[in-house]
Amino acid sequence: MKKSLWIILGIVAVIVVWAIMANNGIAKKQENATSKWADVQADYQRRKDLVEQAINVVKGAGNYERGTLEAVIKARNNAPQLNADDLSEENIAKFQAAYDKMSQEMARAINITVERYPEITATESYKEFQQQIEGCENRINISRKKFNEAVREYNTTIRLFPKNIIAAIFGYKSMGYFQASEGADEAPSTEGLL
Amino acid sequence: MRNRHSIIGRWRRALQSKIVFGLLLSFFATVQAQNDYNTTGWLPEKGNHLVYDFCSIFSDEQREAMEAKLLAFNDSTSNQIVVIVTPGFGGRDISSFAFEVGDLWGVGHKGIDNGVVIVVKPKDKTDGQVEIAPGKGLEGVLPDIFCKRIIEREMIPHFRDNDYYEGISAALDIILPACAGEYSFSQYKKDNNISSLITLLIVLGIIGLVIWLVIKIDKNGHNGNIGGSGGTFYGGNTRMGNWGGWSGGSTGSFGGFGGFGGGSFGGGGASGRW
Repeated sequence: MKKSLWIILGIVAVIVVWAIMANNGIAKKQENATSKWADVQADYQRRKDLVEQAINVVKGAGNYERGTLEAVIKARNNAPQLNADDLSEENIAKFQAAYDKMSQEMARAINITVERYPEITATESYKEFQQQIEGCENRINISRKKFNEAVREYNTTIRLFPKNIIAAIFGYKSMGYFQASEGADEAPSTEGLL
Repeated sequence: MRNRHSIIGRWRRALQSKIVFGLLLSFFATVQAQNDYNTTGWLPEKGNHLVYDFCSIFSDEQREAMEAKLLAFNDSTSNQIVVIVTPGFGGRDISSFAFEVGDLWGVGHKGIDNGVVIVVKPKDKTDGQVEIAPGKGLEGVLPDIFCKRIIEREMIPHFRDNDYYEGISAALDIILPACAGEYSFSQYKKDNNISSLITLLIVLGIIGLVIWLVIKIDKNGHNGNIGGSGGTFYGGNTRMGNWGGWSGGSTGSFGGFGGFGGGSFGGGGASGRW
């Protein structure tokens, strides 16, 4: 009688230890994915700051079309901050769409200025601006790719038996991926700005 | 007779079409071989060196000189710089190619990400292209615009004269001193030494435990077990020897490059065309 009690206790102890380890493993992967999300946000922020700077520069260059400027400011104010807690597929798509829209508005504003003052394209600072935009795009692409990889790893872990039991008990939700949105690449890229 | 003729004719036609098919096949095979660098997903194999010339644009002396220069730089500063000359990028753009190679090979050291990947596609029927991609840890000393200026002022003028070695060397003459200030070897060594010290302590602890066990068993008079335990002890010892070689960093099989260190790339750098 006493011996069987010990055996049961032993099994329970093993299960508890396993559960703790499984939970820690999942938490680690989740943490990894959310930190990758922070990188994605930082890279989007970088592009936003850069284009804003550029707009401030061209704004000083001459009479600026009022409607365009307002569209940019409106788009900028609508740029979302997405919390790492609710990274669902839907929220990520919304985040991406809002940022793409903002970038498009900004690119359009810059294009209008460039059309009006074509000589601006010959300046060193415009070339450097193009280079920086290109760097931003590269960084966004890479951080999005790395985020997707981290999410894939996390999602696989919480969906596979037996860790899916732990995930269900402790309420780990699956995260969404970045989809390559059509036209998102072209609008804010350097080609769009040329 | 007529029937037989038609059979031969058919047979001959079949043979002809087979030959044509065979010729076509071999033609496609050669096209395939030529386009190998452009097939989707192609990435170069990681080797035990730092200069990869798939276009044979360097002479042997040039390649060896560049390899020696980069190797000495790796040994003295721990910064890893890889030069790849390739006719194609496996269906990617040059930037993605550079970042993927850097990430996959792990150019630079883990944690400090001090690697640089330089990719050059010589001008042929299509435009020449060049990319300088610093790892995350070197984006500070090699900002995008700085890379762009190196490409436009140092590399492309030489590349236009088909002088690839001079162009890349001129770029390295700027990149190397810039990186040397960021991560010196002593700094890297310090980080590395702490972790290898911990490893050493753990190994010594295990060995101590084994010795203690051996002595204990020996006292109990189980002679048969000593031989086995002695074997384990010896195994521990050789493994420690391996660790020594690994932390030495530059004791590779060719007396040269000790391997890539797991660096990561974040999308910094610049590219150019001519």
